[in-house]
Amino acid sequence: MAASGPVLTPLELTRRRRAWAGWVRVGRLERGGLVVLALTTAVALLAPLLAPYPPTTALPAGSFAAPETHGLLLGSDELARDLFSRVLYGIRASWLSALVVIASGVLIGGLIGTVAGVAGGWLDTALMRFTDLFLALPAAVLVIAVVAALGPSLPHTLVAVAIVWWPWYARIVRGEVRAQAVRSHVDAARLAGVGRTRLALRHLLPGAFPAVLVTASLDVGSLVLILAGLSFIGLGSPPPAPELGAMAARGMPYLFGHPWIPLAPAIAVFLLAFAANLAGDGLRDLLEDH
Amino acid sequence: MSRRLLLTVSFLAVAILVGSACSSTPPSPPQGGEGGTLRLAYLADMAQADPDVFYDIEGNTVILSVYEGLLKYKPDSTEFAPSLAESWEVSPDGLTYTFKLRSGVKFQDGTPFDAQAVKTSFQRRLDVGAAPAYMLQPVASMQTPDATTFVIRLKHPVAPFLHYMASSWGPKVISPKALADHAGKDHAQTWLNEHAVGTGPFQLTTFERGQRYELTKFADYWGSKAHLDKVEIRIIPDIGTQRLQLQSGDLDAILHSFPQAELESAKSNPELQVRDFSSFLNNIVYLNTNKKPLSDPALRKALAGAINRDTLVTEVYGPYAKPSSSAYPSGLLDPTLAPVSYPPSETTAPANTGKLTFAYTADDSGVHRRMAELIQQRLDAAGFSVTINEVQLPQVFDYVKDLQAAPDLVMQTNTPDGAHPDMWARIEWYSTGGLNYLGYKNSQADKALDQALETTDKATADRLYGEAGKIVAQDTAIIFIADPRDVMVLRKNLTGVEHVPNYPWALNLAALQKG
Amino acid sequence: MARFTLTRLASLVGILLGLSVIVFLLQAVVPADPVRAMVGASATPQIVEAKRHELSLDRPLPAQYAQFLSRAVRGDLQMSLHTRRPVRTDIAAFLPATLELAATALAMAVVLGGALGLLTARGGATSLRVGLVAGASVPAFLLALLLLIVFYAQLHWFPGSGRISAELEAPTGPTGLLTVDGLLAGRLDVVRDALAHLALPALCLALGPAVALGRTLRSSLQTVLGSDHIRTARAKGLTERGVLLRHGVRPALNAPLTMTGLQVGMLLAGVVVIESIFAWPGLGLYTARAITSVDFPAIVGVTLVMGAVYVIVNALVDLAQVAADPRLRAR
Repeated sequence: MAASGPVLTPLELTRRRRAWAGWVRVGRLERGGLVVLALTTAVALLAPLLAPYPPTTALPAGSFAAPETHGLLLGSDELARDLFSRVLYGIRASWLSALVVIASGVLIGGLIGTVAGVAGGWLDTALMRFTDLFLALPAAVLVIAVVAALGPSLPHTLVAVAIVWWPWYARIVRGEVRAQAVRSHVDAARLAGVGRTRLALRHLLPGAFPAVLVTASLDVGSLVLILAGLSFIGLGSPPPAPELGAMAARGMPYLFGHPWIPLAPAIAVFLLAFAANLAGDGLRDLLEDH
Repeated sequence: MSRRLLLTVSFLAVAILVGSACSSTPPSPPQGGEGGTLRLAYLADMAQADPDVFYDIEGNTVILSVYEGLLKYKPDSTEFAPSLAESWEVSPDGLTYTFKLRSGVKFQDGTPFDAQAVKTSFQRRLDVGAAPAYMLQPVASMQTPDATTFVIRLKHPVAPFLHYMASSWGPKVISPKALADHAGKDHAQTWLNEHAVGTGPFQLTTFERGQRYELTKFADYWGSKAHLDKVEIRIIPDIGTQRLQLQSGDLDAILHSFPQAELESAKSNPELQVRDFSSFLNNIVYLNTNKKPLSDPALRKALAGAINRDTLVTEVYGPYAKPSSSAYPSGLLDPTLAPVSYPPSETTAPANTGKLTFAYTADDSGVHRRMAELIQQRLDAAGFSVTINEVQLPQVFDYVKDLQAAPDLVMQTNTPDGAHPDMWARIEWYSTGGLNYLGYKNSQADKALDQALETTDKATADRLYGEAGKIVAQDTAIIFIADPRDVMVLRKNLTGVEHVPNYPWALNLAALQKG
Repeated sequence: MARFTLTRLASLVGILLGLSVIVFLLQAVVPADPVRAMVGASATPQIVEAKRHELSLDRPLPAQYAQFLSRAVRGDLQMSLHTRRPVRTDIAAFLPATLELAATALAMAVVLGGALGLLTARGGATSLRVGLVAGASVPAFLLALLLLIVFYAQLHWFPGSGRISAELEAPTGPTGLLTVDGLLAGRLDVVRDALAHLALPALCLALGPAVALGRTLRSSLQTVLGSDHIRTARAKGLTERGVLLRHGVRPALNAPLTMTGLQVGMLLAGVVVIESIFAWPGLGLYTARAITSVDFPAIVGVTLVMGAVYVIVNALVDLAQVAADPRLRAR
């Protein structure tokens, strides 16, 4: 592609038209999901500014204040802390954690997958067997093992989950890289003498990008749920850190008398996962060329 | 497949499921208070039904309904009542115990009960050598001069010995025929894991591990027969699910761990009654006196004051616990002999105190979690820096191996095996005590306890126990937080509710009536 | 075929070894004293040491691992600390319940996911999709409790816990799967009751995999529908539905089959929480108790069994893939 400059070739025009048509094709629900996610990212980044109270301070309103009393939107929890502020901080923790795990999974998996796909031969087989081993391990056991070894804390849990997450991406990237490798323009480049690394970086990886993005976007929803589940069983930041899963778990004994305490964080998890799922579907519709 | 077909199939599937669900018949109601099936739930499997191995709390209802010991406690009391022994005598030197046994008693397999059966069971407990065997370790010899007399000679005086006999974990009499028939290579432990033959008012007729147990009324029981026909105990690990079933009428009682904060709403439910009983449960926090910074007694005192214990107890337990006034659970010893108090103080932690780790085991009612977080909140506000860590019980038992690596604070709720001060102090703060998790050592307290064990005069012994308690309290090695009550939520139609403070989480099932 | 089986067996053994090593390492890292918890607070030091010796817990970890291996190859998974029965017996007792639950959940996931994929392949069926995605986005413990509150406590349509109503005295053999045993014994009341008890917990487990499956199938179908031989089929004059069903589905099964295999892993993981809430007497419940008792022999045993199930299922999935898509056979 030698084109540079403002003139658009007919091919590019078609591409752009297709892209717009694609966006239009994305349903309203999916667009709503994307909007929610954008909002969530904003909330996650701005939580310290948006929250009316610090998440761990005991307020004079006392424990179990009802919603919309004492100026507390969702009332207070069993330790007299503002539930709304804790949910905001919890969203921050869940969302940023999910993004961090996905990013590291993509990086590690992408690296291994690219090397395997480009190298081929015994290196490819060895790396893929290694990947299969991780895919075959029951994730729960591995996560518990790592966290037990390192001690319960959020960074340790994220490391453990990332260890379990990357194999997926390794497989996808390898698959895409090999599919791209047999495409004509790549063949041409190779015949022209382009080096392997350059080949990988400029021709193979960009082709793998859409598949990875699709998977990543769909994964975010599951990841939010998995992280919530892990902090539910105590593998996450130790109390009093506001983490949605832990808040829901510790709030369960109050479910019938003071339902907001476990329900507010659980609903937050649900909204996040739901929006991520819908948005992921939308992104997939947008990026996959059918 | 067309959409219509898909919908039809789904509709049929749902209809089948709903139809099947609605077709189960409810059990027939009891007539005039007699008969009926009581439905209870356990949060976890009982693991062993063998009374010489069993050492948990949940499961007491089964053991106490199927087996009997020589003595038992009267309801709401620490006084002894005759059980398989009609009367008993202790020699003045405290070494010989003579029990006059009941006659005409039969085991659930028809074998007649006699002194030899008692000896066989007691010897078996020593042979099995599991958790409750310590109660018979001081026994020098056992004699059976005739069929209704059983004599025990001890190696040295043991003040709480009669309490051992009455304890829910005390020696129970198992049918000698069953012991012989299923002896195998392990004194019948494998068989008694899941079967039972005792003399009690109920028989263990079903033991489906992980699922349910069933007790059936023993028609030839020597005492007042049970009113209920059957007791069904289901294993339901989630307290929320148990609660739903209680409210829907599928369970008749929740005997423990009802979510503490929900008791008020349970009270206002017209179909339920909330009953609370005195108990010997004690919520305490151990402090690691072997490691900085809590090796400093002044700092321990300051920490105890910073918790503001009394308001803590009211907030977490509501009306269902009292702040501890003694180093001993209330009712075990005259509280003036070993008083404790922690007046709130506005201390701030000294600048370089460092981080404190606080470990606790979770309980299903949510109390431990909330208590731990509240303590953390208050200590943090006083300038300490506390990390809390939820652990499992076997991990707590491991701390004593490396006290420098162990946490600084450990919270537990414990109960003595019997209603005697020795059975509390010895396990809690004796230097080799089994529940002395953080290895507190004080030779003066040990000496006082050793003396008290062999003292036959109750007043002197009590004073010595008091001394031991005072030492622990002054050292602030343990912070005694609360004496919780044993709280149960029952359906309104249950009557004949009898409870013994030293049999936690259990009711006298033979006295219960439904409807 | 023989080569396939051999390579799969080899990988099974390798994975089981890896799992066992990880769990043993875990034992080294989580300091706990289950012996003390077993023998009680008042046991003498001699009794404690005797018990420790009996359980080989006084030996260094590598020696313990060697002993574990030498017994495991003979099928002996040692004694559980909290039930004091052989772990093998415990697993045999609790496995059928979990298998029945997982299989029902998988069947539900396949049906729901299949419907989702097929109906949304050409757009449409939005309410089904939104409903399923919403259900799959609710945290498992909350979904379970909500279903119980609505369908058990309020509507009384389904039972509150357990596998079967006690009054029915269901047959206990030969498979341990109540639906199958009920059918074999001709007891339709048992089958109906078992299905009623299965409904809610299986639904909770099935939603996540259903959505994943549906997505994969949809994506796969869309790829296939744009390909050449579909165009040919269309040109032949078949209706869209006919094209979809007769020529679209089979080649599109590859990815969804793989996804099904992978989702079995998610199912087995979800079982621990679901079995606790629904009081389902299966391996999940057993595992939860093993964790609170820090009962390593039981934990190792369960991990190995779950791992083995997962590997076997995926091997079957690979076989099914080859059957579905002849093009793969050429390899």
